[in-house]
Amino acid sequence: MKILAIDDTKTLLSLLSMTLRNAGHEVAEAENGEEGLTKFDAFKPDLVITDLNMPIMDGIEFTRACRSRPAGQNTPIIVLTTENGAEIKAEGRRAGASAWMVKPFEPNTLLGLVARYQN
Amino acid sequence: MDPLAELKQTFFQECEELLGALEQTLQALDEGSSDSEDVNAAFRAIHSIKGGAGAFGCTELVGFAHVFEAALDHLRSGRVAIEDAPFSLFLRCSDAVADLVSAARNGEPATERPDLLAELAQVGKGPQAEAPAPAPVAAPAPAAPPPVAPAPVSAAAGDAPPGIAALGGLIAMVEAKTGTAASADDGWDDEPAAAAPAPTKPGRDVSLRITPESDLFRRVIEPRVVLGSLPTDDIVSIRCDLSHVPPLETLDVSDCFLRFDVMLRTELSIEDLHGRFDFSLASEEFELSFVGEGEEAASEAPAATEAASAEAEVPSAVAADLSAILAKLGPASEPVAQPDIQPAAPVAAAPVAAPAEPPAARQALRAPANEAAGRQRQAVSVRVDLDRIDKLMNLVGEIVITQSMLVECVRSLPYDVYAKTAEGIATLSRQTRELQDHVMAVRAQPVKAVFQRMPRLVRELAQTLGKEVRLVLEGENTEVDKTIIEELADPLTHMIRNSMDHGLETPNERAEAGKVREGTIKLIAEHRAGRIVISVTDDGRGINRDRLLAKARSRGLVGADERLAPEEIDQLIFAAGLSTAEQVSDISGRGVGMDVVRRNVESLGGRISVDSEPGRGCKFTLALPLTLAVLEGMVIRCGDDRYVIPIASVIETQHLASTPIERLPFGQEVLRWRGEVTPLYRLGDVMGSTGQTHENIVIIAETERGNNVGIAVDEIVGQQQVVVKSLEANFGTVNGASAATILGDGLVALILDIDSMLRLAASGARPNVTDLKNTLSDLKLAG
Repeated sequence: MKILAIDDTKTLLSLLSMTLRNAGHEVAEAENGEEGLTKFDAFKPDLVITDLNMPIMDGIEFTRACRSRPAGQNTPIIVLTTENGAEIKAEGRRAGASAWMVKPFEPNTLLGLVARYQN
Repeated sequence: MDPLAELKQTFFQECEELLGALEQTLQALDEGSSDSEDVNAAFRAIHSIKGGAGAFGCTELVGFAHVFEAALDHLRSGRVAIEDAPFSLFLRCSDAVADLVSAARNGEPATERPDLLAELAQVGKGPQAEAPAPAPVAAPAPAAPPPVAPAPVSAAAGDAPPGIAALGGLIAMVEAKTGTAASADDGWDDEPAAAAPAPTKPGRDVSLRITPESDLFRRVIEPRVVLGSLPTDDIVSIRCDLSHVPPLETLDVSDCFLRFDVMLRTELSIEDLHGRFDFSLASEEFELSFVGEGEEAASEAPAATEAASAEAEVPSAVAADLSAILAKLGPASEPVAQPDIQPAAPVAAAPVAAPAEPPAARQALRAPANEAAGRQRQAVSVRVDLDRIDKLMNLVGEIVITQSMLVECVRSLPYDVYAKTAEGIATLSRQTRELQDHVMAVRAQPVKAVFQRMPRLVRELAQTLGKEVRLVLEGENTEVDKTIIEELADPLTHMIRNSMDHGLETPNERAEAGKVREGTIKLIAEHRAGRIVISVTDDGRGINRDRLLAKARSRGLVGADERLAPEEIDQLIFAAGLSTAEQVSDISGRGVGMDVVRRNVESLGGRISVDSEPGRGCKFTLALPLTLAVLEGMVIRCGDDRYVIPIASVIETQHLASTPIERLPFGQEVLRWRGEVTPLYRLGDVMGSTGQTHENIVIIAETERGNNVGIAVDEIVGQQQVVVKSLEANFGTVNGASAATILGDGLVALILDIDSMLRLAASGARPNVTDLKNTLSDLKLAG
């Protein structure tokens, strides 16, 4: 699967894409929502994993922007964040996020979640 | 083989039979039968296939069979009148099921048939279904072909709406799950309580009602993913509640209107289960509750009751309805020119929800089905491996031989003892003959097994060739030995292809020739003179003799000034490398057709002939022995050895002394037989017979290619039925011989294969006599 990974923490981003690549996925990286949108248009991922709190454009904004473009309407977006509050989750849901996962992530759990979106 | 694999094998064998029954009944219905038992039989067949497929995890097969079954159910229930049903679609679906079965059997990926599924889903959704009220059971739907062009949907332009992909995945999911449940209790139609978990499974029963917000799809969450968060093993049943799906004209495909009722038997706590949906579903989107003893899930989840009426139909209608949605949504992604309809205008279309069937009607329908099942059980049959019957047959052959040996022995006894013994032996021989007949009868099978494959062939070819063809089968119940059945399929396929491709004209050509547009091919089997005779007759244009002759001349098969009778010209169709098709087509016409058929048929001891009447049609007749296990042979002697020549190969016998023999410069002996120079072979020399040979007789035999040869032998011993014993199985290939047999005195004789013998003679080699002798004694020991 083609996966776009967005996170402003470089180590975490590398860890994330390494985990995904080892599982056989093709990964593109972005360090914030804005870069994410550019990469989204160019890379045309099958799935997006995004952090929430990022400079320039955060995960919620990214999700909303993504959902507003035709190509982004069908792409599952997994939010991977340390946040776990009901309020922020509801906001994420309203923005159109597909799944929510709390950091730190356990590789197999993440891959299991990803696999569920794989046809 | 492990038991599961073995069971699976049995299932596939069953499938073959069920598919046969399915096709046969559909064919009968297509041809105008209005017997409701035919409908029930077709329904049962597909139902059984589905049940078995579910048990063996053939998901694609289950999915397809389910939709097919749902469509057939409309007929069974009378919602669609038999005379209005699209049987040609059903027949194509039965072909598709056959493909899925064979894919599953060979472990190949299955080809999905969304086209057929979509068409199937339209069955029973005629114009009448537009009425919001459920159609009354008694009233047959008016004759209406399924709408060909699905109604366009006023969906947002751009990519396919997310709902479509979601639904596609969901069908597979729901199908897979419910399919397994069905195999356990045979209860697609049963209430959820019936689909109880196995008593051994620990845990508590939990009812889960999922009522997602309509924006589920916009969050790109598929029901499949949601349901996939649950431990698969814990899911007892999944029901999809379609009662909230609005009529199509108001349906926004990006919205989710599906609700799910899931029964779980799980050891997980409610909190754990809550956690599974943590984000994908908001807490108000699902409801979890324990199911107490005797309590219905519905009482815990009041929302479920409102859907109850729709649910009566839901399990069997889910796939059909979802497919219907898919079918209708499909074109939304492709812009369809609709000049008459404003883009924003609501589109008239059938409501998505299927008309619910009154429960009373279901009850009434179930009863006859059970009765029928009871009747079916009465026709007891046992499935036996062919190997076992072969062994039995072999043993009977042994007894026949032993008995004829006894007869020989008894002759030398003093008269008083002889009289009594002979009486006993006479009884014994009568009984063994009877035994042999019965075993042969066990091996005998109706040619139906092969004939059944032909309608499909004809259908597919007719489509490819653009011809209209009616296939008439007669004498399907004619029985013939299993060994022959297996060999029949290829020649018949070839003959039918030939008739369809070359014989029958296109509908327009036929109309011009003053014939009905639809061509007819008759496939008839009958017993005649101890043989099975199968004919393929078409009412096409017949053999084009001018072209066939011209072609034969150009190939040098017929001399330029040679005159042939019309019938002789027709027979040229069996000559190698001749095809009169102007264009080589995919179907036939590569010139490897009829000559190959002829060779194969003759290698089985059969004959094939053709009668053609220009402009009126053509008839191919195939005559085959009833079995390959027993052979009518001429027993001959050469030196100390005896041989059997299949009677089918023998044309004539004559005294050698009265036959002028000439020797060609390179040593080949020839004789003149009916004015033709015919090569002569001395059997003793070719086969390396032991003992001194004194050739007295020459047997004129025919080769597979239709040439004649003379075979010089010492003596004709007699003519008798011999039991064929495979040399390959007992020893190995022996050049010149096709098999061996054991004669009345217990000694072994080789059954000659004329063509193989000629090749042996040409090579100049001799079969290793020592080896042969060993073979013979081995054979005798091994039986």
